Amino acid sequence: MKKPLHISTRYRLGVASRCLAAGLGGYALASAAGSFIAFLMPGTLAHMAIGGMMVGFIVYVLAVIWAFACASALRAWLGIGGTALALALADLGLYRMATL
Amino acid sequence: MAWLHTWLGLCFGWLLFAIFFTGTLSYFKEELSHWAQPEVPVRAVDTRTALGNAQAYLAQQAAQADTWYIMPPTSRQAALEVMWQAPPGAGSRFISKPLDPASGALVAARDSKGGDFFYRFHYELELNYPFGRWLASAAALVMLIALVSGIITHKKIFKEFFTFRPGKGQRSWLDGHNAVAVLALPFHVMITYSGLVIFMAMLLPVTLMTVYKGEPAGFYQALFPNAFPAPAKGEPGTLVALPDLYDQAQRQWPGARFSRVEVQHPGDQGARVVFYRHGGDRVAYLPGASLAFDGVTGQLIESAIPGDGAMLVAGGFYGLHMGQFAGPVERWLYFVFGLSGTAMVGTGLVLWLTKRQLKHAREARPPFGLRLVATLNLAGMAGLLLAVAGFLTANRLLPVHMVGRAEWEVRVFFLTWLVSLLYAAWRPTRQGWVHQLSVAAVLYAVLPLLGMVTTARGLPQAIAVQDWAIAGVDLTLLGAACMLAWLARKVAVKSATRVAPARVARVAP
Repeated sequence: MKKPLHISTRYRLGVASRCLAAGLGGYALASAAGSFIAFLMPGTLAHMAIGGMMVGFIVYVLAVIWAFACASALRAWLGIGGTALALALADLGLYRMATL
Repeated sequence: MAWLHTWLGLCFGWLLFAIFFTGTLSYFKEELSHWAQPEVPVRAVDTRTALGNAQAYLAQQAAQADTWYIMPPTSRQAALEVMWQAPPGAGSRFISKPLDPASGALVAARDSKGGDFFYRFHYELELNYPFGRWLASAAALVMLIALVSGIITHKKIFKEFFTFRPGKGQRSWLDGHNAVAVLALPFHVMITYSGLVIFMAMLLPVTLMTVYKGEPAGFYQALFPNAFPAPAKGEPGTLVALPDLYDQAQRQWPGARFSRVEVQHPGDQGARVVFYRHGGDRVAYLPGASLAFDGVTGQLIESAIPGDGAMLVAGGFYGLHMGQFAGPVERWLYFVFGLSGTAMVGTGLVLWLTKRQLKHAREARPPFGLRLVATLNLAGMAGLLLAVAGFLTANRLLPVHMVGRAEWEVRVFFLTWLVSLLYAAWRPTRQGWVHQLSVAAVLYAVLPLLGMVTTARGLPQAIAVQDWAIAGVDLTLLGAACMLAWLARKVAVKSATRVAPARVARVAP
């Protein structure tokens, strides 16, 4: 993000919005991605869960970086929210198929 | 990216500094605990005898308890610790007593949390469950983001690695920040990520819940297969001798050490004894790895847990974070790397301030924000060092038999920190730094002397009987005193040369 010479309200709102996208959106994405990876993991349920959660943290970090690296706050929301939604839908399908 | 690095670093810097510093101290948790309770006698490690003594003591003192926990002594932990659930309404949940492993007699040691205080503070921050752990985990995540964004910001990473421009104000701070960050970068990434991995089930419950379809109990059963005993049978049974079970456990896992022996339903026909393997036996730490025996017949019920694939990777990170496998050399390396992480956060915080102070150097009164950061920098860094010294001083000076002694040590820790904060708010200047660093240097230098006066195991006595844990802590305190005195002098000289030309020294880093 390039800092403008004069800090406008618009700029401030953009930063706040990106913070929310990174913090909350990133968390949702990490959870959804963690579950998705878990369903693809080999081994017992415990192996799957651990593998998924370990990848989840990395996804969270990347999501936060992305939220501040992309061109606009709107794009941050679309990128993170869209991916999280798609993964959550895939999770739902995998959840239905999986048997405990 | 630089923006993200700067502001995340500033918002979480003071918290991260505290977590890194107390976490670094935790690598010598056992040594600090021994220093804090010098009355506990050091014996040759004999787990067999210790277990027999623990069984005799618990049968007498805690016959009605549902579970006994026995922590046998190790080469680093002198006392044999026994613990059981307190009867309802007794205030705390567990009763814990240190015993002499050779005789089984209760040790009349001063009540202190010792190194355990720093250890728990670094991930619970003295806040209630689960808030402390959540906050510490959030800080770990921020740290990881700061590391990644720091690497992205840092374009000339290789060239600048060899660059150090001392005595040039902001430049030197930047070079120092880069040097400590890059030098131990793999350690910083490992320690931060593994911190998250340790608490993963708490941090990403959604993933756990989806895999286990809303019933995560199975997860804990897979990880800790011996932690969920069947209910007691209600018929009296005689508990098998623990030393004999220890021999059996040794036959199962030759040469294994055990960090905890758990006796479930002692005195009942359904009693079970679980031997938890010591984390130092291998690098990967699987906290559920254990052997379970029938407590009446002495037969082996269950052994080991799966330790492959993703579980082994997670256990590897867990083990690397805890460093229980480390011998003296690796332990000191952990300590030095931990300090470099602390220094990385600290130099970053100073850098933020020096950079902005230049802009406001001509103004009579610096803006509120700068003053605030200057105050928090001083209290967050020098103040923490003072608080640690306060804790250790309280350990040496509070009456040995005082009621609530361990709690008072913690209170002194926070009171010292508060005093430092108030003083920093009044004087957030270079002069304030000189004062606080000097007081800290004096305190650290005085601590070994206090030990000579108020305990029977001061530095000379400890060296004489080759008690390297206590001698090591005392010598490290003296080393810290020298370092702090040197720092204080350095800042003092700097402020003397700086004040003359323009009045820039109003707010110091």
